[in-house]
Amino acid sequence: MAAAAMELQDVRFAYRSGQPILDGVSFGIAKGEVTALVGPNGSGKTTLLRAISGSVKLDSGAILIDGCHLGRQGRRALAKKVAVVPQQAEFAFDYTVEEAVSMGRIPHLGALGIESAADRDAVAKALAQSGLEHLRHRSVHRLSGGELQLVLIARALAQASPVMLLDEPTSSLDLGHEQAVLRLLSKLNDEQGLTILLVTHDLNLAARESRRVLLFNRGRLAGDGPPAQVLTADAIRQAYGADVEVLSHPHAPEYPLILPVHRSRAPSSTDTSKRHQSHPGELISSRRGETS
Amino acid sequence: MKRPGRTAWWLVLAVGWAGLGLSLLAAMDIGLQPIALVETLQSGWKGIAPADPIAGILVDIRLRRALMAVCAGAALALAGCSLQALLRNPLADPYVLGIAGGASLGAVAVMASRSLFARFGTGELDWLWGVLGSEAASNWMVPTGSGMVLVGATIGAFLSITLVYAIAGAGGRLEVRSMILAGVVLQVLLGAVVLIIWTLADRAVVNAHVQWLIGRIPDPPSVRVILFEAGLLSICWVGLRSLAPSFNALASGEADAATLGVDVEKLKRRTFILSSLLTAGVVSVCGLIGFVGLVVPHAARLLVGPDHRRLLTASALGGGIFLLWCDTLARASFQGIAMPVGAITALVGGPLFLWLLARERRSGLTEKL
Repeated sequence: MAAAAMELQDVRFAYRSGQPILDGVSFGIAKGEVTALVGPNGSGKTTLLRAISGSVKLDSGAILIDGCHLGRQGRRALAKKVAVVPQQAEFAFDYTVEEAVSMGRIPHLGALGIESAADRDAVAKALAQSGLEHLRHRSVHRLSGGELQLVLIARALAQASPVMLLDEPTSSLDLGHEQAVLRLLSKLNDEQGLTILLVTHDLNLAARESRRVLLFNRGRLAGDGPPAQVLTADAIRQAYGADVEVLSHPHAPEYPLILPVHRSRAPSSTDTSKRHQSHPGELISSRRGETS
Repeated sequence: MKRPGRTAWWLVLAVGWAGLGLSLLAAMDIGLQPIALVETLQSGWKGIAPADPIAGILVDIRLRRALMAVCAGAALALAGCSLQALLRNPLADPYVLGIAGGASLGAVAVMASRSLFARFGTGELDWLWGVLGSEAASNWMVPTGSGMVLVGATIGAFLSITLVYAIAGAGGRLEVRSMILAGVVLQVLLGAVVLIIWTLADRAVVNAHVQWLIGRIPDPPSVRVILFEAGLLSICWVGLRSLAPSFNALASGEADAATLGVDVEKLKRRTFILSSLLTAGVVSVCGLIGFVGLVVPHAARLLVGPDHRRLLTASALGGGIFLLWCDTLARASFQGIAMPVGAITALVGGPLFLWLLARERRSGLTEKL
């Protein structure tokens, strides 16, 4: 196994005592790994992301980034190791795309905050990698949701950190922009060995884009492993209280394909076999509502 | 409006500095007493005494006053620009947030201290007046621009902004609206304390205080004061310019800035200290001059964009030019009656700010305010 990019050891955190948000979370992520973090609303995903980015102080446990204790690193040192792409960002002033991307260079600037040629090159490279060169002079207030998401990713790229945390990067994007963002992330992982931790609600996206899925429920890890192993109908029902059918992807059998099933319209066993026959994918498992 | 690129920014800077130089020359030329500016400068260049016997007015009065106005204007605009960046709101400035009110109370408390102790004290503190710069027995007022007045003003300014920040940030979430409201209320409250001090102090001291507090560039300021203000401005500019990238990052929120490597709490402390120093430096010498810190950064943002790596410098330059012209107008436009420059900045800056606000609201950019 490659060296660990990050390691969480029995991490515990609560906003109010007695109501833990993170309840003894332990896992490690290897360098160059693409991991998806999934779980229902309120399961602690975003808090975990905030903990890894140093924004919340743990009650107990430890987070090691590249072998160093997170709590012993200053903000700038941490930002050089971990870049965060938020779900959305609202800029108070109308910066241009280039100005917004250049904010990623902050941890690398000297005491006087003056940019060097290397900083300018990093910004130009990040703009080129994310295909934003033609928009570099456009105001961030005049971008579509997809373009703004790309700007936030470009800003994280300019940060040149070996680990990137993304919080729902495609939640507000149309299919075209979603694919553009995912292609970029995949390319960065392939070419630069970027370690990616992706928080998402989209289980199919998690199954398709990551080699490992962490299923989170009530502040604990409820599953950890390859997508097909973690995203079973039972595990999803337990975590989300949702009825789903899990099929194998017609073109890539190793990827599970998760289909929500409406309780009142859940197919009977004969219906299921018909559906199985008519569907190109193989039914891995299914869970139907008890009232069907 | 199209933003200047890298080359264009240098051009903007060059035009700004040239504009400042020309404005200084114009301010020296404008006045009730007509003086042959060009001939005087030529003779000064050649090292000979000017033919015009009253040419000394040019350097000893008009130039000194003009330089003081430039430093004060630049300091106020720089402080306003930094506070707007920190609070992510173009309505912030040293006056709105109570910093100037705190500085004026701190300064008044020090300036009136001798008069108050003479009236209510027993004489044990007589040694103190020498330290405070009020040695002459006839001088009941610690003079404006003295070191201790500056210290008093700085402490007052810093305490005010800390108090406003603590009130508005109570509950863990900083509400900019609450901060502005708390600042405005505190400004009124501190003004009341100033009135109480005046009521208790010697009448002559009060007269001098009123002349100072309504906002005047001293006529003329001492070279020592000008050099001090220029030094303070330079140090604070370097300090705030080094924070410019962090100000930019703060535009998308504190949590987002933190992930970019910004220590937000340290940034707030530094900004409050530097903007308090800048404001206190101006208030302790020139009294209350409003609207410069509000209007100038706003106008500069329209010209060079919101990137604080440029905006801070553009605001300082613009603030210097703006206050220089307001002061020139104040001293030369009313047939020998010197108007307080604070009234002129309010008369010019108020409508300008309202126009800028209406313009931005029309474009929908400040809807969230």
